[in-house]
Amino acid sequence: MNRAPLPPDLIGGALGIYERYAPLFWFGVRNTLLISLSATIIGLFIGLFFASLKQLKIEKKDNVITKLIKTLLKLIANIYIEVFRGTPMIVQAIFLYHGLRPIIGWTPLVAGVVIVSINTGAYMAEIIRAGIQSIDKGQYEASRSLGMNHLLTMVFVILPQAIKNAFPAIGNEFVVNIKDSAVLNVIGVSELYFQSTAVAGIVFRFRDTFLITALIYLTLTFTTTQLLRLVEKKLDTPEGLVGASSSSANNFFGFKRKGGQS
Amino acid sequence: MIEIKNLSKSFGQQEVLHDISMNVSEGEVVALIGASGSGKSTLLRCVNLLETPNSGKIIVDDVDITASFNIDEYRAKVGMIFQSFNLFPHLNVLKNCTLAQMKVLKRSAKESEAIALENLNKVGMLDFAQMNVTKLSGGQKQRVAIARALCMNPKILLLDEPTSALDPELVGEVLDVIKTLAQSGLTMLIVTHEMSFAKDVADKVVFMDQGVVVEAAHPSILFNNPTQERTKAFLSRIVHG
Repeated sequence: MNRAPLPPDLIGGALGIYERYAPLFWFGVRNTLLISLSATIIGLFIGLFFASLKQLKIEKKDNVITKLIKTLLKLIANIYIEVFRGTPMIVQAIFLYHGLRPIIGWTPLVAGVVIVSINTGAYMAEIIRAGIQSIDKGQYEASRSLGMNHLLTMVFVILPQAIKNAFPAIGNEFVVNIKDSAVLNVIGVSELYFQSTAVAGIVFRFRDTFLITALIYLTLTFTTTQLLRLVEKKLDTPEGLVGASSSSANNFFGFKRKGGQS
Repeated sequence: MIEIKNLSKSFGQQEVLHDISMNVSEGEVVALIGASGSGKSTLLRCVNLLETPNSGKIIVDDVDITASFNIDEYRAKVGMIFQSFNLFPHLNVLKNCTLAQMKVLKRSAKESEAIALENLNKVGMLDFAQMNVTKLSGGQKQRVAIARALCMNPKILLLDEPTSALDPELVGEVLDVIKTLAQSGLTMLIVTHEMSFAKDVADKVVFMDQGVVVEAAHPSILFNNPTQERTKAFLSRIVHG
């Protein structure tokens, strides 16, 4: 291409680069959003599953096999959570992608969604667990006293309230994923960071290119945060989760939620 | 109907119930009274297996509930009313009453709703069926909680200080509902601090102190001519206040 050279200054350079390579950036944005949104949703379900496993109560009445199964399930949940919270996602990405590629032959994009999902799931499990613990134990007892078993109680009484309470933290995971999905460039997922390095490589102007990248990331996270706040407000009023029967729910994560005590 | 035999319960080192034995016959209303920490609530929670006894037996309708059996099936037959109501805040009044009916008794949505409305009507909360439970007053919440329990057609109703969390002016409306239920022949076990209420509705009053049953008798006897020193001391404290 015989184009005029880019202006040497930061702003001029950045504008010039964006003008020429906008589609490459937006392709990255598309993948970044695709990965972070789907991985947050999948991660939420993984988290729900493992948080429920951790909630299993070994009761005196259980027979030996039930006790053994429950103990084993709890152990698996604990190992999963500790391993994926205790190692960097960039390491998980390389290990899992290359480790499983010979067996299932997945593409970087699919691997990216799976890795971020599994990673998010471990954090979600802890978020949901905290959400569950914020629910007054009277809710559990009332449900059990109506004859609902542990599973019914979790699904229809505890989790709907816990998820509502944990919503700010769940939404925050989405914002984190928008940023942290950048590490997937190590396995060649063409998300925003990966695309930016490609552009920077072509024009050989890292500073100017990554100003654009930073601004795009900021726009994405800022917009998401504002949208999540809106949803949060919706959840809080007037059907908000407040009431004498679960007063501790008002104080989840150390801040007083709007809506107050009824 | 309920036969409690040599029941003991400890939390760690602390023994809260010591060798309790008592009977509740069908249709009988039994009031458990005593100072805080005397073990009344724990005894009630043992009957619903919210607490597991360390030793002793609880036999309900000839079945030993402390032995292995279907706990959920049993609980569906035994209603429990809590001091703090424990309504489900994410559901409205009607859905609070229909959830367990549909999930446990496998009733259809339509049938559950009809039964819920009937019971809400019984406790005077029919007009509030579509309300958010968090908007209700304490007395209204407790009446909904009673309706919710009644929807399961319980054979026994356990009430754990049903009016203790209420403002004084709201106590009456809840006690009235419980009175009506008592007269309808439902077997009830009530932990209460409302002595005049216990006098009114109970067929038998059980006075507990430090984890043991001190005295059990018809209210006219227990309140007027208690035989035990500890009962006398407790009642004089209540009266003189």
